[in-house]
Amino acid sequence: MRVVITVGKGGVGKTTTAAGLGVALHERGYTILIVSLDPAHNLADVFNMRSTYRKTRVADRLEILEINVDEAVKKYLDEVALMMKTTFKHLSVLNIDKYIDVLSNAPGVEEHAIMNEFKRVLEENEDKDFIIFDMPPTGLSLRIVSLPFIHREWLRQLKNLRKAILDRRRMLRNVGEDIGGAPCEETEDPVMRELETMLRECEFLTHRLTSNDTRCVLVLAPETLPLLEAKRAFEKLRTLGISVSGCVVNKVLRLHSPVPELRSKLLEQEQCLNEIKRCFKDLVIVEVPFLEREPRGLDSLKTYANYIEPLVDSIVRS
Amino acid sequence: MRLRDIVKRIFGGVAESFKERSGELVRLELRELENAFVLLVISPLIGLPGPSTVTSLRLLPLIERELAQSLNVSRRLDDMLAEMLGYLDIT
Ligand SMILES: Nc1ncnc2c1ncn2[C@@H]1O[C@H](COP(=O)(O)OP(=O)(O)OP(=O)(O)O)[C@@H](O)[C@H]1O
Ligand SMILES: [Mg+2]
Repeated sequence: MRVVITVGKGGVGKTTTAAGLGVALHERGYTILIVSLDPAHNLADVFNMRSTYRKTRVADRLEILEINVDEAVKKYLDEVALMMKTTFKHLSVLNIDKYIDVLSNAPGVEEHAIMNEFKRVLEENEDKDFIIFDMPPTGLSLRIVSLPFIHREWLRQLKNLRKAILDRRRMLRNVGEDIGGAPCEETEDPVMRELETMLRECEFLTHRLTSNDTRCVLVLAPETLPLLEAKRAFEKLRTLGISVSGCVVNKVLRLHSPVPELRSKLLEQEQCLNEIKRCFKDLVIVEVPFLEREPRGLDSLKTYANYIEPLVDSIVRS
Repeated sequence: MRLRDIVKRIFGGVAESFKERSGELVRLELRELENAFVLLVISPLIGLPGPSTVTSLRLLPLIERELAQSLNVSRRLDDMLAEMLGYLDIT
């Protein structure tokens, strides 16, 4: 099972690209699931289908799924509440739900919930050839994919610290000092065991994200701000070790007869296109023109898919 | 007393007291490490940046011993310096 993730600024065409890639890969005979992890989802709309938050069949071997992010946040917080109740038994007498309401607005909760859903989708869809993730706009996407890496670093630090603690305990025990029955060996320390379990869970995600079977696709419009964001995303993904296989330059204006009002617009576009070729010279770059009609529905998406053919080739080959 | 016994006694004593002293240092070090560990684990719960809330909640029930001890230490934090100097024999 391979994973493709679309990343880019709001409104540039991530969802359309995810859908187009899904359709193109499906046409080549693969079994496809397209998943929207965007709280403001419109994947179903792109296929002219109703939003159901359940896997919906578009064609044989082609399904879409929109994740209900609010529901995912609630599920995540319920899990936290349950753990709180079991850890602090007296809390069950107090009104813990109020505390949880406050938590739902805490920074990071949405990212955590979305990452949990990402993991769940991967685990439940091993049978697919490709899972294509349509992501929220760049900032949130990058926070989501960074999460397991940050988490892994924390867990590693905690583990090192714990090792040092167990070391000292062993030293004391070996000179016959009383350490009050505290565990000294890694295998008998419940804290160490829990840290290792959590590290394994986390590494499932970091391995998956950095493996050769996972590819990001940058989506941008030939405009200054989307380009700046794509550059930043590219840098960040590279630091994390996540491969980027290509770059879709969407909504490129190609006019038969030049319109004077659009002169400076077209100039900006040319400059951006040059800059894109320079910055992403190692990536497959494909251009999609600004289409007369919004690319929606299977047939329009097939047209869209034609424009990104070289990218599809490179994804299949990698 | 024969010379051999005297030597044995002196060096035995030195070794013994060295063992004690370093034992004390290791104990001090251990407590500091345990405090740091507790602080890192509870940090997301008290609003400091740290591992996720879920990480904290999963570890919390397992560090009862360290937690109780850290709370004890923080209650008499002003004694800490004196205590440390004492350990290091700087009085
Ligand atoms: N090449 C194109 N030509 C014309 N319209 C397009 C093209 N690509 C996308 N669109 C339209 O642009 C709008 C935004 O596209 P899309 O929803 O795919 O962007 P997005 O990056 O997913 O946005 P969001 O950040 O809101 O999720 C849609 O109405 C879509 O139909
Ligand atoms: Mg979208």
